[in-house]
Amino acid sequence: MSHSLWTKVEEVGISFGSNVITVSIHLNSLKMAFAVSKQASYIVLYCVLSFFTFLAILSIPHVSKKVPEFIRSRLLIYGVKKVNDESTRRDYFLSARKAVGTAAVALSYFAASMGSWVLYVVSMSIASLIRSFILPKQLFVFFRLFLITVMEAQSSELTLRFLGLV
Amino acid sequence: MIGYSLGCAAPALLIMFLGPRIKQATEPEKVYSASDFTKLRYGRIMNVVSGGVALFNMFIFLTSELTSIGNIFSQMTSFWITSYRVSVTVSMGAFTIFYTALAGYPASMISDRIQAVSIILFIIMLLIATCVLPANKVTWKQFDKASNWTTGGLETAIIINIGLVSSALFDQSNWQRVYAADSDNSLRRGYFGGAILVFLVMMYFGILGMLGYAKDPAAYDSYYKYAYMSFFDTLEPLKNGWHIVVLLLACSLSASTIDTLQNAITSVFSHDFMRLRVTWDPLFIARFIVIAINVPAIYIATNDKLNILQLFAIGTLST
Repeated sequence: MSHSLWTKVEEVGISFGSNVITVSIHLNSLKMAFAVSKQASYIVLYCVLSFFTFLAILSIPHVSKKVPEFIRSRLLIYGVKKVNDESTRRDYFLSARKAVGTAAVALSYFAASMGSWVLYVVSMSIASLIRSFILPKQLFVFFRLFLITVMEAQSSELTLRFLGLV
Repeated sequence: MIGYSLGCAAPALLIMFLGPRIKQATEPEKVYSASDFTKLRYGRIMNVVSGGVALFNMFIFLTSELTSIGNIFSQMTSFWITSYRVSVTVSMGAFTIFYTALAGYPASMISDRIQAVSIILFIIMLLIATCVLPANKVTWKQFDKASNWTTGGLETAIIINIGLVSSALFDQSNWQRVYAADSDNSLRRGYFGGAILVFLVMMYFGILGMLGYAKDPAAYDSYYKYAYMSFFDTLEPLKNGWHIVVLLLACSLSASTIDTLQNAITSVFSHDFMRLRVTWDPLFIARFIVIAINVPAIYIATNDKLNILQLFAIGTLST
């Protein structure tokens, strides 16, 4: 399957400023067809967020202390037991100081490092890297053509020679 | 790809060694973030500078995360109406602000635990679903074209590692865990385990991105398909139910990062407002900060013209 760059150009705009020439190129890219319904997406969003809110409520010390030990030990950080007065409650709220073990540190680092951006950015960086070794010649020819077209109207032949464009 | 994955895991390996030392250096004081360490070690001016850079960096990351979740929902529903994207972004922001303000950092630690387990489960499910699909089968020759060892790749890997490590050292959530760990051993082992998990998952997303590219390189090279959509390209042939799993994964990924960043932003101020001699409850001030910083982030994230990569570039350059 081969796609020429020129056949995918949807719109080209050139605007001239006092010192700047702006060239804008809109490419006709493929639209992917995902079809999750709007209602289903809202259900997913609110169910997930409500569940995490419920977990957060469980972490409040006076709620957490009422949770049975076998659930607390599996779900919750055990440092909550140390919260006895107002000062430790504040410190616990802000830092959960000395309250978590190895697994919690590992999973927290992992979950916090992986944002939804990874779905875009990792693919982007890799594909861009691959493309940078395949396309430079094509891109060079493409922009050279544009520059010649634009500058012929604006500049003298001497300038074009100076820039090595003719 | 290996460079990128290592870059994401490298901060954890660095904090394994730096964390206990900084914790020891600040031990008599109750500190909350690395900017508190700079205050104790170098004075108020350095504290303000490092805190300012950290705040800016985390704010940008928060904004990009909120932007990204709106875009993913629009992508998966093919519903590119601004009001829909805004409603997803605002809902994500509002819920996370609510539970962070209500329960503080422990809420983030607990939800991270569940989020991490659910992320791993969803990733395994998607890995199996995408790899067994005939539409995603590529030959070794096709895959070879998408997986080269190049000098440019090595250069990029080095640059990415420097950029990501610098950026992560200003991310106060990494330092919050240093103080939350019950011992130095838990801290070292936890960060090491986290680094392995992050490395493996980044490799997973990278390989799927390469798979998407290998299926149809000409389309990507000619911009018929956008590079950043190559992961979604492998998901497109799956049935609708799997696309809902992708939304579940995206929600978990996003909520875990956003609630952590919200607490990390508060931690920059925690040391100071715990010492304030005012009648207000310090936790009230913490809640106020969570809301005051997140509302502008949500507002910016709902702007149509934002590019996630540009936001990341700004955040990383600031560090």
